[in-house]
Amino acid sequence: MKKFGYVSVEHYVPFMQEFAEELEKGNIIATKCKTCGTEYFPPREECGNCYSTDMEKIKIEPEGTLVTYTIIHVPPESHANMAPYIVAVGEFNNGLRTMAHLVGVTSMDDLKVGRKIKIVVQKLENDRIVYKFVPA
Amino acid sequence: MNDVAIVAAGQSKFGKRTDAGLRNLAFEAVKDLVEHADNISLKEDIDATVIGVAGDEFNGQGAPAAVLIDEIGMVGKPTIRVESACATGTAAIKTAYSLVKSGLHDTVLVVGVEKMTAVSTAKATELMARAGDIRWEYPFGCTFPGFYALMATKHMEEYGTTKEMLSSVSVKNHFYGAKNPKAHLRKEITLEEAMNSIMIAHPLNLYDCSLISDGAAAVVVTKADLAKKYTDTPIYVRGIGSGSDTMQISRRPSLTSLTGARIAAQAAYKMAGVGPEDIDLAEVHDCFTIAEIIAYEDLGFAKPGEGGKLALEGQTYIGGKVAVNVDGGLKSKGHPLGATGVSQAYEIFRQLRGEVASEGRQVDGAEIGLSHNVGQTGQFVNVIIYGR
Repeated sequence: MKKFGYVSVEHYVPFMQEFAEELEKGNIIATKCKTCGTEYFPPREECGNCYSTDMEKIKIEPEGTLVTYTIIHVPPESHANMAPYIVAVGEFNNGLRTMAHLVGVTSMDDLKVGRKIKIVVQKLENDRIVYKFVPA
Repeated sequence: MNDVAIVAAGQSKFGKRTDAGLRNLAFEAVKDLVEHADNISLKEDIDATVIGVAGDEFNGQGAPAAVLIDEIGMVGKPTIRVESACATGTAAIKTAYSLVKSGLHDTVLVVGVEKMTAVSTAKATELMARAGDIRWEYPFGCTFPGFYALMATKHMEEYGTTKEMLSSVSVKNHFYGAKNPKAHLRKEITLEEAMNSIMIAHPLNLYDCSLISDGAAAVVVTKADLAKKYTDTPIYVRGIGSGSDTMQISRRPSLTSLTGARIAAQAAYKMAGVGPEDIDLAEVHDCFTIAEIIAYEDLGFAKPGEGGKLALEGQTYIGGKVAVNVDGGLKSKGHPLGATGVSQAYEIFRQLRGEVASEGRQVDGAEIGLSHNVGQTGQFVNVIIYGR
């Protein structure tokens, strides 16, 4: 079973397996409520705005902007051997935002808030998969 | 509004309390309350208890309220356990307020407590990281300092807030914490030390972060008609406001303000019939230095983007525009999650009654105090305004 992210603590529901399987095909999926039009990224199965469960998939385009970031020097137990790493918020099509690691940073210019970034898919060990940001 | 009053308060010493478990901390706060109470008998006068504990994982005791009411001699009386992450303490006070105001109970004992240091710092960091969305944020190893660091980066970029401004908050809170005998870390620090400590989550370093502490605090909440029976100088709850926010921090339109705090502040000010200019002292949730700066702005002490300047100019020391966290705040007094909001009430209770002079940090003539208590990264916010 494919799993999303470096670690997880919750029971893996079919929706998340499907998300991870789409990621493997290179598709980063958001959802849109067919009833009221509210868009969710990260995706949701249920609409908290109108209580509909009739959702359609929409695709996140790779080009986005860096909203903010931090460099984690003291990690939680689950990330003990990874620090330092950059956690960032990126904004993509339709103003949809998510959190991910920002990798491939080679200069301070790559960390400029508002700069162009790309969201890419990366396979990890142990059948895990994740999306990441890279400077564009 | 003067319907509900606080008539007694107590607090344990905050710190890494290797000598005390959860139950001992609660007992110490209640004992302190009893010893300083003017004219109240807990056995006879208390009708119910409200217990605030944020996390069971830190100390391992399931259903902690049960062991606590036994320890503090309240067995048989109705009790309820309240949890709202780091805003648990004010959630407990708000619950007690509601019980009294509804007429269900006349007089309620509130105890907020947390035992955090029994687990390693790495484990505590892990447990708090899980307060981020375990599906979409936790998998990226974003720590609690990390969440506030995301806001700090944005605040610095958008408003030109500087590292020196952040560190000024830390220097102030350590200055007052050094004077507070119950504070966790009693030492003054220089601006240079604050600016050059080890990095935790860029741009936040060690001195930008609050402490992982053990501690407890307790207050007695009663209806105004009965207040004078218990003390000549009750403190009244003038206003309560609360708000909330999205689970995922990335989904918020603003990362330089806590929407829930703005909603809470407006509601509390409206209910109390006062504004930011009327506040003599504020206890704000400085889990990180940037959180105190954002609190200045969300509470209306400074315009958006000008909170850092307020800190840098020393306007939040006693004698400045508004005295903020003159007990040391979460930064120096410590931050035992469930105790924090109750400890804010304890400090305001003593300040409004003029009982802090011997500690050299009395806000002279203080009449109105504000408590601002934030759970997680703003998913729970309570603002309570107290008056004489």
